[in-house]
Amino acid sequence: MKEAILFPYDISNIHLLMHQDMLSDFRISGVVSPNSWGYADEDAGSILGIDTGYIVRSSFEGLIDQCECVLFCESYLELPYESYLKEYIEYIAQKGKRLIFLGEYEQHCEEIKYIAKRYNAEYEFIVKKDDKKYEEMYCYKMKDIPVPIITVIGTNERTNKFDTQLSVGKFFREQGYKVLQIGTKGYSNIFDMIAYPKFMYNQELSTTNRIQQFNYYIHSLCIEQKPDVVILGVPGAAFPMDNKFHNNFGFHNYLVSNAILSDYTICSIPYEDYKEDYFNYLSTHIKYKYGYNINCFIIANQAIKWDETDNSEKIQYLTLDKETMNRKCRHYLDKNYPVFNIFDSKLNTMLTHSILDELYSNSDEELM
Amino acid sequence: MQNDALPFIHLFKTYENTYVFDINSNAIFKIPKYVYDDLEQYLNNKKITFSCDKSKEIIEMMMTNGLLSSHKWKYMEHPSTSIIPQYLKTSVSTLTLQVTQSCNLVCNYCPYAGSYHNRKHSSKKMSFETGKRAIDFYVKHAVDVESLNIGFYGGEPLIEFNLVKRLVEYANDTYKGKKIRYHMTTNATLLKDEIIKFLDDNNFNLLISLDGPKEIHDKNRKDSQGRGSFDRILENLKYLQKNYKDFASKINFNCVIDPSLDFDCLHKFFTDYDTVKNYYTSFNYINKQNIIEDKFNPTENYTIKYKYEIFKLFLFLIKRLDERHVSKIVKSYYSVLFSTMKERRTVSFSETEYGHHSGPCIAGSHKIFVDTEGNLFPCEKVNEQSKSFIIGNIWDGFDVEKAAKLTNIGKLTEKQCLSCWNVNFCYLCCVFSDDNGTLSANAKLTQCRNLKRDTEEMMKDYCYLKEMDFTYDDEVFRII
Repeated sequence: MKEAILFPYDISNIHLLMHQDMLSDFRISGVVSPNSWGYADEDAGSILGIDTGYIVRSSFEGLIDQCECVLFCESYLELPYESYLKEYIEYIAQKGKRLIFLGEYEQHCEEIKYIAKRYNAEYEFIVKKDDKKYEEMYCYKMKDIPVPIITVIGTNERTNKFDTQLSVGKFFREQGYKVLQIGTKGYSNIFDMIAYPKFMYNQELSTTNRIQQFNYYIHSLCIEQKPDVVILGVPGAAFPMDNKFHNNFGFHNYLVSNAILSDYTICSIPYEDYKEDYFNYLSTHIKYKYGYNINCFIIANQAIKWDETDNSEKIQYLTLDKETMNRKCRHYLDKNYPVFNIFDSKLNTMLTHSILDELYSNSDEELM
Repeated sequence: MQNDALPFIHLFKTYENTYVFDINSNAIFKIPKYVYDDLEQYLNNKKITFSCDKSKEIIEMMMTNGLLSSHKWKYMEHPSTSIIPQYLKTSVSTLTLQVTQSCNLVCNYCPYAGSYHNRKHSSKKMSFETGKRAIDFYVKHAVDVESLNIGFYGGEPLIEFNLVKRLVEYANDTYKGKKIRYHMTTNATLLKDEIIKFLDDNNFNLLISLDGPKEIHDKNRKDSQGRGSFDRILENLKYLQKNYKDFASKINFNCVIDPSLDFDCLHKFFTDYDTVKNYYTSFNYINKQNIIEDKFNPTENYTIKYKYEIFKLFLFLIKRLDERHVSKIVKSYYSVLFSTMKERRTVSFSETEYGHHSGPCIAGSHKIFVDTEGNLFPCEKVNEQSKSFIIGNIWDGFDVEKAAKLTNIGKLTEKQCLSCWNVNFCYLCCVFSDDNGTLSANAKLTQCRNLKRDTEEMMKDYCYLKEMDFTYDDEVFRII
């Protein structure tokens, strides 16, 4: 276990604190965020109303000497490389600490390597990659996956899909099940998962080949690892948000839904004041678009700021706290809509038990 | 068919056609004259009679498709009310600091210069500690905002240039890692090399108040001795353009139009005058709310010329006139028309139990205006001398209830608003409810008649352009 500092912290990577027990190689010893991001001197979960036990610092001073490495994580907010991040990479390398980059740092890869070498610091880029063993392997005839699959999809970006995957995975492991988990983040493997494979992004492969290869890949992993359950996160959003933000037209949902059949589907949605019939509409829409039967919904901690998004090139979001999300979930649960909040332990327990119940009831109808 | 629950619609005509605006769906339909007449009779007599079978068929088809619904909100509530605390906690977009209430000019129509009942200049200025605290407060409440936006406002903010400089240096030194955009509204009379260099070095965007050529500008924008400010501004602008070419591109002008003056003169100045012709200029009319003596009524000559320019704009849009003949002053009307009638008019068939007329932002989220004392207001347009508009202070934080009250300003006139056909196009926020410092339903309602007239005119213009085969495009005026 390496003592690690998380940097640059914003609320998008709270899962690295909340699901630390699933990290096999790291123990987070500190959290650092640029002062301008507004997190400093408060608990890392403060804006969600969650107590993580970590106070966010605005500098590495007093923390750096006690750690072995710094985990450079992805964040909702962009940190300018030239005017800010580079200076910190140099500082950490100079201190002789290991530099570990989670996710989207590839564009600065060469320069980072150069800095690390200059100070003789170790470095590592944890990114999505393909298992050589399954490279370009597929079967024309699609294979039935012999294990129940729980699929986590989202209607938009920033809907806490990864937090959901971690929570559900943890529950099944705690119950003693053997879990095969394909995670949406490029660095999923630090959580005892396999990252969603790189070939699914390979534009040189035809759509058909990618579907066949994914089917073969999941099937092969199931045969090899013999899991009791597969938890599969689908990257990206399920459909366009509007004419301007098309979310890649739900392309990965199209690929995955053609490659496998989902036994239990969790659909994450942004926080919104939905009318009750929206859930029926959404379930029907997804059913006929992808063939998924939606079993439950997760209300995310992010709402879309529609007015600001209208005037922007990017979707603008608002972060909601746990209690606000809970109130919304309870409102829908009272009306028998299965809507949960992944950040609340009670609602999370309700979700995981509902999955277990559904999978048990399915097992009575085993097709021989 | 007798029905007390009448369709919630608004009927209007262009020169050649008849239309119905369906309020619940936000859709506008061209309808035959006989359908228009039948619907009009229905609204007037609360009883529908069909003048012909075709009319019956069309009206029934519209109803079957969810149109002509009588649905109205049961009560008025801003859709974001329940999450206002979160907006104020993490999503304050812009900070505007009132660094001083003093100004070196005493413009005739300035809210602070004694022309209005509610606001006056004073010698109050912000302390460095207050400004610093306001910046700290803002950063903590802008967690969800991609870049920090800090504005300086007065009075005339450049009177306190040293304070502005210290605050910018503080923000730059303390808050690295997020882009900070600075902006300032100034009368430009105090711009000199040291100041321009500082503003340029810190990527400021400047909004300069300039009302037109010397004879127009100097009529209203004068110093305390009655001397006009035009020559000083132009001298400073020319210096800036000559010595800071890149920075000059970040300037915009704000022209406050006094419609009692000559339109042609104004038009010619902003079109031909070298120092200003290539800049974006926003044109606004003098705010008449709470004014003591209204000396700014449009002359007949001004009105005729303005309307003629709108006519030329329409000729350009239907490709009958070259763009160079269209006055810059009226081009913004197209942007307003396009945005109101096309971009922001979402057609939807969702009927909700409650809602709020358009207009108010979430008070405190879109912007916080911090006065010299550290009190928080929703923006610089509200009367900062009124306690009704204070939504907290930088030491104790937001008063969420007050922010919610200002956001839900529709509650003040709920009875009238619930049955108003213009709810989706209204722009009345708390600023328009100010009656000498108190929130007043009457002050708000006095605006409604003009507002409804303006919306109907816009609907007619929109439909008229459609009748002429004009296609709405956000790039029509790319060159502005």
